[in-house]
Amino acid sequence: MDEAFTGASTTLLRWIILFPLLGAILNGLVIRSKSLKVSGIVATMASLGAFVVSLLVVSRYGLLSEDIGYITDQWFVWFNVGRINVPFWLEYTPLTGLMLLVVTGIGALIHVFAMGYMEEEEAPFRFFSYLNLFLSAMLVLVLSSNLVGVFMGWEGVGLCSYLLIGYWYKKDENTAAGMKAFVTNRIGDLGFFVALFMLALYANTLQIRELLTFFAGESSQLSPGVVLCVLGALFWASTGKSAQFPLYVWLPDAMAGPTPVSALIHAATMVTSGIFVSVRLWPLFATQPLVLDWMLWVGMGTAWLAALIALTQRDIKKVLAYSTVSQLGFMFVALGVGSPVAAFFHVITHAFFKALLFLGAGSVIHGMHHDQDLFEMGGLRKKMPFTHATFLIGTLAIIGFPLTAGFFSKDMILAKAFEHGPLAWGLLLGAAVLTAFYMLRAYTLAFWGEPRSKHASHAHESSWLMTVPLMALALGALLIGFIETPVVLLDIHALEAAVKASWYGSSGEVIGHHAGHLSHATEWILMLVTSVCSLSVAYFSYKKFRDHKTKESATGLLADLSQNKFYVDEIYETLLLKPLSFVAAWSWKIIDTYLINGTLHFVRNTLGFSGQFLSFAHTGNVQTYAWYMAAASAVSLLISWWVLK
Amino acid sequence: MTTLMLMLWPLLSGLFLFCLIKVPTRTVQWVNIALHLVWGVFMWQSWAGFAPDQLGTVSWSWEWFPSLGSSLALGVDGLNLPLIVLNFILSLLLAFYSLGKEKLGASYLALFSILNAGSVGSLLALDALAFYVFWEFMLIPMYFLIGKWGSKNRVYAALKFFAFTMAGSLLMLLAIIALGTEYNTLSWNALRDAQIPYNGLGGFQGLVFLGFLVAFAVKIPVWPLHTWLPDAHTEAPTGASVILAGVLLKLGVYGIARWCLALFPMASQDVAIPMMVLGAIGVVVGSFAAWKQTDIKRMIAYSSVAHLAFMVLGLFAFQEEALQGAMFQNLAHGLSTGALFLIFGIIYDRTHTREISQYGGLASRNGLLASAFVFSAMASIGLPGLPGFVGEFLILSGTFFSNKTIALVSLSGVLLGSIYMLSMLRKVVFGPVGPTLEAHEIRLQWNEWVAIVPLLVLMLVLGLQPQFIFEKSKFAVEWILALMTSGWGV
Amino acid sequence: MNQFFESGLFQVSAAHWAALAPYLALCVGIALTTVAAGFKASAHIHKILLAVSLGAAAALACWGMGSGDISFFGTSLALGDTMRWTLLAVTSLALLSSLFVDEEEHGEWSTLLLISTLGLVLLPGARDWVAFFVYLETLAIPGYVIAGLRLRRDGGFEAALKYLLMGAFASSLLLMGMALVYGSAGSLDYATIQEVAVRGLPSTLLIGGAFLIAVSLAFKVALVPVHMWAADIYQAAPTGLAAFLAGAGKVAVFMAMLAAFVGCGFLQVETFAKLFTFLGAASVIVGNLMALTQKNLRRMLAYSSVASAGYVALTLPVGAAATMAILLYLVTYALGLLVCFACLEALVRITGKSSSSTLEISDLKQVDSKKAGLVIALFSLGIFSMAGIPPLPGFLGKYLMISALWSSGQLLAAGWIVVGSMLGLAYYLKIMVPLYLDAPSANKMVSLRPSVRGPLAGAFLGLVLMFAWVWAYSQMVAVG
Repeated sequence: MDEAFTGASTTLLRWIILFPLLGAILNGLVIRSKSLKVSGIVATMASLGAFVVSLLVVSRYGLLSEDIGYITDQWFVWFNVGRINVPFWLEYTPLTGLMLLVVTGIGALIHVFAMGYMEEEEAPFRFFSYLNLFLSAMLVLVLSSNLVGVFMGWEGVGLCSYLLIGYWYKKDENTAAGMKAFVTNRIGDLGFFVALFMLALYANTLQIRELLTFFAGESSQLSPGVVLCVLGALFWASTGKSAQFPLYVWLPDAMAGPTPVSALIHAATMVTSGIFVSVRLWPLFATQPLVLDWMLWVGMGTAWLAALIALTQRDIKKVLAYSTVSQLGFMFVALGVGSPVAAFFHVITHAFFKALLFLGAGSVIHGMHHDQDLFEMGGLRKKMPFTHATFLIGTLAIIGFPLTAGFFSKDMILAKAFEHGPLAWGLLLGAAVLTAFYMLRAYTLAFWGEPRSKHASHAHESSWLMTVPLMALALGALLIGFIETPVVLLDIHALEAAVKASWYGSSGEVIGHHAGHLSHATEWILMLVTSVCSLSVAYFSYKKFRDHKTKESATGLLADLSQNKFYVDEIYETLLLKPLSFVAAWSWKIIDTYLINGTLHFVRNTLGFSGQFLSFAHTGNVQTYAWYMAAASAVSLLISWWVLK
Repeated sequence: MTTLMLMLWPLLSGLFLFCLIKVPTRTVQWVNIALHLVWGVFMWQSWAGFAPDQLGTVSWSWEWFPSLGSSLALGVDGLNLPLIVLNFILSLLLAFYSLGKEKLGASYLALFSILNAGSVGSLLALDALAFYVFWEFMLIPMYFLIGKWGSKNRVYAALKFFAFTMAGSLLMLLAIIALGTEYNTLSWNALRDAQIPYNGLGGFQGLVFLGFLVAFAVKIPVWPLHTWLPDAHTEAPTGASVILAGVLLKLGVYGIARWCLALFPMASQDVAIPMMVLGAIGVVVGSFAAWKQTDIKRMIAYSSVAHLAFMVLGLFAFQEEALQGAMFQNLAHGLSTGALFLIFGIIYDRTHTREISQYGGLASRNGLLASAFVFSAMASIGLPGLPGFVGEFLILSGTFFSNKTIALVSLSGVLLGSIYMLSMLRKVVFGPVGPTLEAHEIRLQWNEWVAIVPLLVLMLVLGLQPQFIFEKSKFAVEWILALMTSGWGV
Repeated sequence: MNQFFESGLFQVSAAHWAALAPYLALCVGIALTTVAAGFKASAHIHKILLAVSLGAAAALACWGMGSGDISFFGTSLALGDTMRWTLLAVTSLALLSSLFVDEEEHGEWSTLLLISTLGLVLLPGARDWVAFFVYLETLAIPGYVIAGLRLRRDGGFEAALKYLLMGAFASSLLLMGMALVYGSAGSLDYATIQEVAVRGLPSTLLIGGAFLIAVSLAFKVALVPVHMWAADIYQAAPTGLAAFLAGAGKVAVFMAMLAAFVGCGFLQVETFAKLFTFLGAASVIVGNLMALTQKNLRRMLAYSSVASAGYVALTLPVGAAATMAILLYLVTYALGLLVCFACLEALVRITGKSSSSTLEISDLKQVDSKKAGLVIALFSLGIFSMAGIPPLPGFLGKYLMISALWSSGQLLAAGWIVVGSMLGLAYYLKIMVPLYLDAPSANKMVSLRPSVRGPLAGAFLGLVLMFAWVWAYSQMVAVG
């Protein structure tokens, strides 16, 4: 590892965070303009600023070349008490470089889209200031060199997603969805807290670079139990943030927020932060095959569950939301089979085509005057040609149409899964096939057949502000695949080089994992099988829904089960929420009002009562007084006699 | 000399304000602000002149009862300086808040200054008797503040507040007397150097320690002794609520650090686990109770119970991170809960109801105030970037280092905190506009903004740059923890 | 005739004269006021004469401070520094209570006050039981008359008769006790009794006598179970004089009891000390609980004084070491009580009620805080001082007593004092509620009678004196 740039310090990185932060402050506190154009432009400029600086940094320090070390930006010391030393320093590695480009690039495009989408808003500055705040929080998460800094970004994005999901706060269910997102994320964050405490206690450092070098050394004296706990806790935090089973329930409800929010936060950036952090700390995970298996099967389960639910959803954004959960499952499967490169590759490609799909859906919803029901749409391809074209490209990318971005990343995961074991490969293939089915169902219901409602018939194409970002993303969805192609096709491994270069010299080899190598023939066969399966199912789904007339969706036991999300929310409600709320209500009432206050009032009343009782003894006539005195002296005489007996 | 003026100035200004009873309230309120600014000069001098390794240095003392070995010794050091400055800041902001409020006249402001004198006095006191005198002295003005300017059943709340604290502190009086007669000196430095021998909780040091501990446990309040806090907070006027949450509760935490840990380290170690268990219970039960309240101020009061239970954990974990975290959480909680009470107080001045069901849709009635309220709520549930997180993270990590199970149980407090605070925000700030907000116009005067904004700015500063506070209390904390392992008096 | 003079009873040196001077000043005062009463002089003359004689006594005592112990009439009367401090206390209390006596009171109250003061200041100096009994009666009999000054209204007659009868019973018990003690010890002099009591095996007769004396003196300071008279008498007597009886009476009698029981060595007897702890604890409980239920202000203050007598009784068994603590507590408590009675008198004159005997707690609601602000402030300070809240002087007295108890190892008694002050808090705060906390009632009764300056001056001076006593104590390292 050439030491050319290792450890060089710069002050550029902090500007990547400061630009969106500045935008947020300007919009939120200073300008607060009612006009969409002004607040939109300020916000977009801020996000573009971040993108430009990222480009500058990437161009200066290189991205995909072998000899990259890491660049630090020693900004300020947050706090340093006893064992916990948290300098708020930023770090640039090829991995973070890539993520920077994706986050700021797609972020800028989505800001432009939002300027078109958020038309009749009375306070647009609030939306754009939250969006910018989110961007800066995400960049803190990406760039921070210290795990507590990462956690700051982690909860910062949680806050912004809460604010943005509940943006239209006038309706209570939006705020409820926001709160559900925040609380579920916080349940995950408890894992992050535990991981931080364990690392502070046993590794007594929280700097990612030191952690990796500390662990990389064969002689890492940490007991396996400790490492297991840390990684398990980190994975639990990722299930919270990256919506894996059991903490995925918040993502579908998060669709209550405006569509640009769903595109940016719940498709491209925030939900992938769990995987990003796992890839960044990969040398830790590589030492624990048990955790990797755990990831594999949780990812697989989530992929399947979400895909099944997505089959029968009526709302276009719910379909895309469950598809995101499913794709995230794919990424965790990639990590589980021991290939962080495949996972990160899928993160990047997914960011492009899922953002594209969401924005496409946004444009459709905008055209359909906020009616999101697939069965109310139909025949929009004639009325919204650009949206239709870009949505089609996105759909092709996600189902893995050859040479699209999805094809390359999904096949890499499937290839790695095959290396790991045929069972994993088979199940994953099934999930991919399901993806093809529900994506095509959504696409055909929306764009093909006849308009099934008044809105659909008068739908109109969105303004250029919205279609230009769609086209840019479509381009990305087509071309981004070529940064990491399999050996048989063009054999480009730029991404692999970049990712492997960002672990500060420690190798990413998974212990006890035979690096099996597929022969060219098997690779070709795998590619062929996956493409054939998914494309045939896609065509079948296209045929099935092409001329769907009625507004009703499929019925039957399985369909109802899937429609109602397998009643997971209801199960959580009865198993967790009701008992907790019951215990809370009763613990407070019993302990505070009855036990503690009860005893206090009892004491006060007895005092008052005994006072009344005593006053009977004070009759007020002198004879009784004299009697008392006589009694007192008699008793005292008795005592004196008894004492000296 | 400045240390004496720190305590004496509010006392004198209090007495002076009493004489202005006949003067129109507006001028009295401005005079009050001027007096606070002068007080600020002394504050600045003591803050600037503070040497980090000051601990127990008596900068002013008057031998008032030589036969008891006691003298009115006042001194600034790492433990009490941050709290004194917090007291000044909150009091100054409340002075601005009271501008233009007819009800908050000369007698209210006078009692407030005397309360400040009492709280700063007990913070500065480095002599057991002086500490006790100021500790009790605070009760009288607070009793009248709650009793006279509170809301409906304020008399019950005021009496309960007085009785609880008085009962606790009478035990402390016995402990102080025992110390005085046993060592015939009451100065903190002398008692500290005497290294009081320790032979079990039943022994002399044990009983005296328990006397002190109970008095501070009532004041903090530690879980089973906390039922006076919701009543006192609910009935107290806004100013008294802010000062009660910001400073008076912290005196319990400060008292344990100064008088329990420093003088009786061995006894504190014996009582550490039970206190931490009480802390953990306090966090969970406090959060449960806060979740289920229908009265907003009572809900914030129970959230204070949960936050202060965290500080009890920090105190008795005997780790540097935990103790520094607890001392820092003093400030963080003071600012965030102070801001919550202040903002809600401003709303309450217009709507005169505390029922959550009446509220809703504050965001659509006054956007800026709503965002300030959400900001403070986020600070109170420990969002990183705001001081609550730094304090809670340090306390929890310290507790984790010393006892894993208790740390994990109290970690749930972080989650429960977000549950009750967000459910409150959902019912008050977001959603459709509630009946009382429909009926009343929430329009803030300039002085109310002047009262709120500095709190928010301070929260941001402390959230991102807390190190300068840790530098101040570093020496004192390290010294106390060194005692724990010194094994004296065994 | 002349051997009568040379019999040593009368070697009168200059030092003797100096020591006796304060008491002579009081006798002169008594003579002058009787003459003034003869000439039907106005109340002002009486007050001036009273002030002059009390002032002279106090000044002479101060002048004579620190000149060691001198004994008179053989060894029956010993005047020392403690005696002078007690004299200062009693005279200052008498002076202050005279400030707010009503104009229409009968002429003789000033003479009665002076005689009673003379008895009170001499009592602690007695060194044999005969002298003790004589001084006790000189202070008691004027007390009975004072109690009955308002014969025809406020139940004055009933109170006076009750006080007289109970006083008579107590005195008879005292005599019976003295007889038993004389029977077993062969002499009434403290010193010889002490030899018999401490060195030889104390006979049942001696201890029985001691117990009887203890019970009769318990009546004088209104300890439970013989405290019943206190509420009625303190309610019926004229406000100022009631404060004097309650306050100064207790100061002198308790100091005398301490001197006597230590002198005769009775406190060495285990059960005798236990008796007082028991009486003290009972008084603390009964006094506080009864005060909780009282509606009438003066009865509540009476029961609170029963409780305070309980605190002192708890501290008596500590013996000579607690002299200063007991004196300081009694003085600050008496002054506190006096401040409250003075404020009650002022409130009566402000609200135009007939007399303070019937002042209920709920009546306080009608006091207009704007007009009577100063009176209410002084009243609250007096209340908080009696409750023992620092930084007011009442706290120091309690502190000293508890530390005296602690150093002599009697933890239980210290505990009772703490419990008592906790209970006391409840009814002291009850008084604050109508004054400050409740919504002020509409009909404000205000008829300012010109003569509100007297009680106000009394209350203010009382507070100043309290702080003066605390300052004096802080200067004094260790006294007698």
